[in-house]
Amino acid sequence: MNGIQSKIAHYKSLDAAEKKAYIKDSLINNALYILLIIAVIYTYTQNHRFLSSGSLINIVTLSAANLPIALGIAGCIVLTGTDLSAGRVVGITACITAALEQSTSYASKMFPEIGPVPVPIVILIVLLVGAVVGFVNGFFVAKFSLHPFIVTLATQLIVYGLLLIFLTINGNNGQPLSGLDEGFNGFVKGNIIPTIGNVTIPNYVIIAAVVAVIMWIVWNKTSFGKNMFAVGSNPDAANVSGVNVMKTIIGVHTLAGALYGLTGFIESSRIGSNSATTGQNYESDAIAACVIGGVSFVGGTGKISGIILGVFLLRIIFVAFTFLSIDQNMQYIIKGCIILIACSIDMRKYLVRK
Amino acid sequence: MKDEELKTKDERQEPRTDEEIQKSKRDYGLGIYGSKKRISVKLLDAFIVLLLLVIILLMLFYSRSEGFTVSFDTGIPGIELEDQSVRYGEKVAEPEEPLLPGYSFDGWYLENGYHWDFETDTVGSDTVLYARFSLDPESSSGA
Repeated sequence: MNGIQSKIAHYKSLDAAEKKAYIKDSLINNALYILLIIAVIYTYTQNHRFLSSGSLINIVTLSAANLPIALGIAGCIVLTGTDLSAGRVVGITACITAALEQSTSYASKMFPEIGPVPVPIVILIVLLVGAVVGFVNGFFVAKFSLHPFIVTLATQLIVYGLLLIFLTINGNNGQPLSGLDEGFNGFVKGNIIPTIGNVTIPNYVIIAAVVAVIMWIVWNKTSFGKNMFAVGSNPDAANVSGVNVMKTIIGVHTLAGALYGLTGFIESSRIGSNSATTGQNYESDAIAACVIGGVSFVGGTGKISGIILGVFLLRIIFVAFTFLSIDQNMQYIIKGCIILIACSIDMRKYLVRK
Repeated sequence: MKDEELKTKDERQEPRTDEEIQKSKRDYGLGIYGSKKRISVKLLDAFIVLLLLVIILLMLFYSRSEGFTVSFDTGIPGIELEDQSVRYGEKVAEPEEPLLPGYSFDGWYLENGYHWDFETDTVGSDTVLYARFSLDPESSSGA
């Protein structure tokens, strides 16, 4: 509240030309929020169900499913990098989860000799698989100062190749993996919180909330988190002040990989039928959400609350496009434009601040 | 090193008024990727506004379209059914049953094996429905 009052006081103290410039700056810096408001109002006029409780719950659950990957990728962006392999890691971990959790009664089960594997073991496996890919990314970035774009582009391809090979195991021939065990689906999509009215909160929303809390603690209350921001702001200064830069970069990427693994675990059940296309382009949504949420490509800045808000706002826009029956190919083009705007605003804020 | 370079540049320049310095700060800044090339904030603003307008126009234009495409894959060469355009949340009109000699038609399915119910299911994206057939015992015993 004080912030708003001080902003109003600051605005009043400006002369006419400065006021004009201030309004222009505010409008451009908040261009994506303006887009959001326009999209929400327009979609609501076209389809009133857009703002129904069912639709809002849908937006919340979709946001929750995409939160862990965004929280992971945000760390890489704080380090002035990125991670293009995120979506494919989600894909491979989703398919691994699906293969291990197929119901024994399912006719074309990939591993007929093993029943559904206990959920905690599967979680450990996917976290480990994601962490290994993240470690490889972090190692090449930290050890050889290779650009994260190139390193993660390479691992993206490697992981995609592995995923395609994985889907041909036991004569599966690239077919989607479905027929998942009820117990597993219950763990992810069931609801431990009782249904109130017609509102059901699936368990993966709780999983996402727990992950967000853990990541908040990691970012704000641990030396690892503080080192991450220090390295993101200025790696040389961080090094001089005793931060192990290499360990921090590898740690951030490994943690990010583990979070992609968790996203894959959730997605496998949420989607139900997992194929080589699972996870495709997830990284672009996550990157866009982070930038909208204030995680700057300049490095060293970002908040967990901002990322949650970014994921949520982006999802509202995408769900609005679906309600408007906008062709999916066109949605890709619009998503690309949104990312360009988000990055341009990020750069603009940096330039003006300088 | 960078500071020194900038300092030397500034020293070479004529002294600037406060207004000029303020204007320069507003219009230009230095890039973040080590480039000394100046980036115009005004140009960046123009691109942001342009992209925003493009998105809004695309949204308005494509939301007026007929909707998502629902196509039918019979799996039988030569038998093709017409695609349907269905808006979000609406139902698909059940197409004519495809005929395959010696087989009976089981219905339309999604790629993941979900049996599409034309009475209740609604469209949420571009959709392909696949026809499924099973061996017809009557015609196979007769043959």
